[in-house]
Amino acid sequence: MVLKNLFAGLLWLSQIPVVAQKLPASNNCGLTLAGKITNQHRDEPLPAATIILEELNQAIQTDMAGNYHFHDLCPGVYHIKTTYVGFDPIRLEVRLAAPAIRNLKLHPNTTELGTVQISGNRVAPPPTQATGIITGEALESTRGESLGRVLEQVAGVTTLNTGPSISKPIIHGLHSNRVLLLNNGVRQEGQQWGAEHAPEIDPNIVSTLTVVKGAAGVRFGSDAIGGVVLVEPAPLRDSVGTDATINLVGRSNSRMGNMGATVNHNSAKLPALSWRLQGTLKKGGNAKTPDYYLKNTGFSEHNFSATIGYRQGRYGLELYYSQFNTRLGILSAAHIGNPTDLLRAIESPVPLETSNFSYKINRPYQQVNHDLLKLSGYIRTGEAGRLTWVSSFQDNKRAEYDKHLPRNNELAALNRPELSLQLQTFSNELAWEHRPYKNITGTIGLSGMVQRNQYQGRFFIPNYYNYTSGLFWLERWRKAKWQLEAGTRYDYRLLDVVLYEKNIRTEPQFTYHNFSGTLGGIYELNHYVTFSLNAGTAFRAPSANELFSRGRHHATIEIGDRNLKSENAYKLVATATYRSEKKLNGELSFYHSYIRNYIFLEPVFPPELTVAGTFLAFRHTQTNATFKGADLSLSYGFTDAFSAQVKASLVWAYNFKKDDYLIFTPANRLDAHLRYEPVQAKGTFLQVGGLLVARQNRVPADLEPNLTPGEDAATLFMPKNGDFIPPPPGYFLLQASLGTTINIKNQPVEISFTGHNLLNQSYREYLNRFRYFADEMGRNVVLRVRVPLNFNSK
Amino acid sequence: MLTNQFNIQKKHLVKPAFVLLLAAGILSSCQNNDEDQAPLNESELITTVTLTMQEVGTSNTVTATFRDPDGEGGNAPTKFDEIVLKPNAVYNTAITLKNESVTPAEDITSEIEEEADDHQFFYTPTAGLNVTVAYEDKDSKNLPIGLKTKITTGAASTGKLKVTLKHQAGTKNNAITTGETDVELDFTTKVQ
Repeated sequence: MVLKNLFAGLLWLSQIPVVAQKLPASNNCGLTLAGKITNQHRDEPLPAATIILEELNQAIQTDMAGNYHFHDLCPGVYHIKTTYVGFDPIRLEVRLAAPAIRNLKLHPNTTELGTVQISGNRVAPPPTQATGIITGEALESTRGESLGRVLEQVAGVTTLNTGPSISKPIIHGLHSNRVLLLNNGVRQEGQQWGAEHAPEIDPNIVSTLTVVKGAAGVRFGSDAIGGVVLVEPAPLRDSVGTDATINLVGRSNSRMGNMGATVNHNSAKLPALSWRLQGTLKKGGNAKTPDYYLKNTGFSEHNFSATIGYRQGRYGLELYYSQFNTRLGILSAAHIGNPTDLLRAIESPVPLETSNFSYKINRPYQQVNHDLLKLSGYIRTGEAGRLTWVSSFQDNKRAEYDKHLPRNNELAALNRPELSLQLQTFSNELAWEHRPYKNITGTIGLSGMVQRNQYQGRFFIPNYYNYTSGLFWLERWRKAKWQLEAGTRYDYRLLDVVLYEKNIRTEPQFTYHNFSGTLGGIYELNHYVTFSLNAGTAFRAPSANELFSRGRHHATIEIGDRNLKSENAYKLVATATYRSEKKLNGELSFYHSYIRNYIFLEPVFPPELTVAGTFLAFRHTQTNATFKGADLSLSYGFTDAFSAQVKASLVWAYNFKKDDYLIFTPANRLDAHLRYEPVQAKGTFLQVGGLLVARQNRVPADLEPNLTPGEDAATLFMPKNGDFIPPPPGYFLLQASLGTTINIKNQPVEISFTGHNLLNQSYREYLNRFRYFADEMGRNVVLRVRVPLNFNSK
Repeated sequence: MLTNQFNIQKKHLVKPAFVLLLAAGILSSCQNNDEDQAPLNESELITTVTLTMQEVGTSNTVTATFRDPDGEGGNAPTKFDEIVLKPNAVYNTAITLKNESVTPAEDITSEIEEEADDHQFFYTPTAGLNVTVAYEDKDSKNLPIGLKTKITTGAASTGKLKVTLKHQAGTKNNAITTGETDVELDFTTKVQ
């Protein structure tokens, strides 16, 4: 049976529609039963509640908004049963003739907390790794921000910034190629190796952001050393009707405007078909510090996506296309190509170039375009499980325009980018979730990818082809209070580089093989306390820039090394979670990761003499490193209306070979706020809090110069703490927000104001690459308006 | 409803098949276009800087050259001469720039000349080096260029002469702090 269905599924995938034709045309079994589960007392959605469809012995969990869906049901009488720890169970009879919605309100039960027996049912398993989820109001309160900034809400996630408009996530001290982004189920393949290359994803698409803070190499493949960010849009509508959302954001600093709109539709004529259109327009000008404007830090963005999905009987198909386009101005005073000029710029207390406010983006700037086309499908392999398949094509274009046009007037007139990269990726993944066997559920899958990189203009990374394939197997056992998860994966990668050196073409090839593994467990001590422990491994093959870069990168020389080996990470995460209904909720996790062959840039002496000056040189080098730390998030409800929230993250990063700290590690930080939500006015809140960031003192020690005879130490620039200048002092930022929902003729309109850096503090952040030149943004007030529209006449 | 079902399925089959073909097309276009072109070389490289110093009133000529044929990042420069001048003398000096990474070598001096309004050389002797450098040429806006200079030496001394070429597109203002640095070389200089 299993084999037969698997075979049928494969046939279907190879475009031969055998399965669909065999479906009896008279069997109308595409009905959906859906609804929302809420807490009766506080009218809050209950995520992760279990609903069991008794007749089919099927169980699912509600999503973060408390929604549940059963698909592909035939007409008939069903019984659904809810189980949620701390609430009375509900059993309900449902007569299904057409798609139906049943909303359920659960009554809290604080006296008896029986164990829930859910073994043998299909349930989306909670991960054994530490995870952070941003959804609902937390997500809405950051609309208009870049993806990196949105992710900062999760404890343990900080950002690496380049000026006010470019930011990328750092998970437990690791970033760029070591953080894997999964955009709507597809590995984001952009130019993520660059510290100033922000993720090419529109955060307005997102309905749930999940940060997996572990070495999640088994399920997601290479690179997930620091963690994984799952960017997920809302599921398509599964009930007939049309809804839309309009998001408007205005920001005082940068005078930024952001407009977003989403339309969802499911037609009565063809209930199996749903679609969504989504678009974003965004434009901002020069940001302002408390004392001056940051010249040329404007940006503009226009993105859109379209999704169409078809769910029928035992299978479903979805086609998704998204386009991301951005132009990002780079702070003029920070674009420096010579060490003498660099030191001069660093010494200046204000940037050497400032300006008034302007929306105009001049050189230097980046122009980035990312297209994603995705086709995915699933087919229920009868009793045997479910087969899913994702096929995607990505086209990433990055053009970097230097500050100065070429000296040659003819070349200058072409106004070409000085660096231009195009990365095209075609990938496929096939995964089969097998039927629960006793208490065991699991997934087996394989994936493959073909990638091509091309450059024009200045050499920084070579042209290459990259072929990868992977095979993974994950199983989970759950019984009573215990859950155990184990998995393994094999990856193969072939990097085929086409290199021109002095016009001689060579084609060096690099192959990498790797096994990854994961082992984790969850133990529910009681209703309140859960412990989880996960040990995972992940690997990352050296990227093209680490192997091949050579030459000037801003005011330093960067040198690659072809002999670099793969990085291997081993990460252990222990998490304790405490959940009580109203008062105290919290999560504390400790992590320790050891990275063998960690690749980083190390200063090389003596500095390199070139026609344009004596440059500090950095070489990609390997060491064994460790990253360890703790994340804490706590919330406490003093009364029904008053609550406090605290979030803290600590990370230590250590270089074993040098016996010293690693550079550019996020400093200790604490984020805390008080929140007031009047019980009688739903959707209204006032929140006051602050962010406290310590000075980073865990930095590399200063080096002793080994001077060549006759060289004068005074004329030689020596790194300070492995950097041009030591880390900046710590800072405190006061933040507040205020929001409410008003009803205009029964149309709810959500309005909120958020103020950042309300004391207009001048400060610099250690992990902003422009901290050498300029302060961070000053006071910033953001207005957000969200209008959810519902056109369901029936 | 029931009679509709079959039609729906038929329609539904055409679409994914089409999309799959499309995806397959993309894949093959991704792989077929296999002939990589040698990337365009940047013609902006300066490999060679030469100072030619003609002593006034004699036929003495002193030259000093910096040469880094493969540009920055590759091999170390192959030539970086010292400047050796007589005390209390005057030298009419010219500076030439070349790109010798291409054949025939590209003359960059004339490019600078053509765009004199956007470029300026600066000559900065270190303290204790008894050398002064005076501009002998002007651009259309009466600002110095520095392709032609006059070097005057004093008493015997040793130090470094920093030669800087600034690209100051539209911003030229006779200040070394303006613009982007194309050349910055510290020539060891001996007046003996």
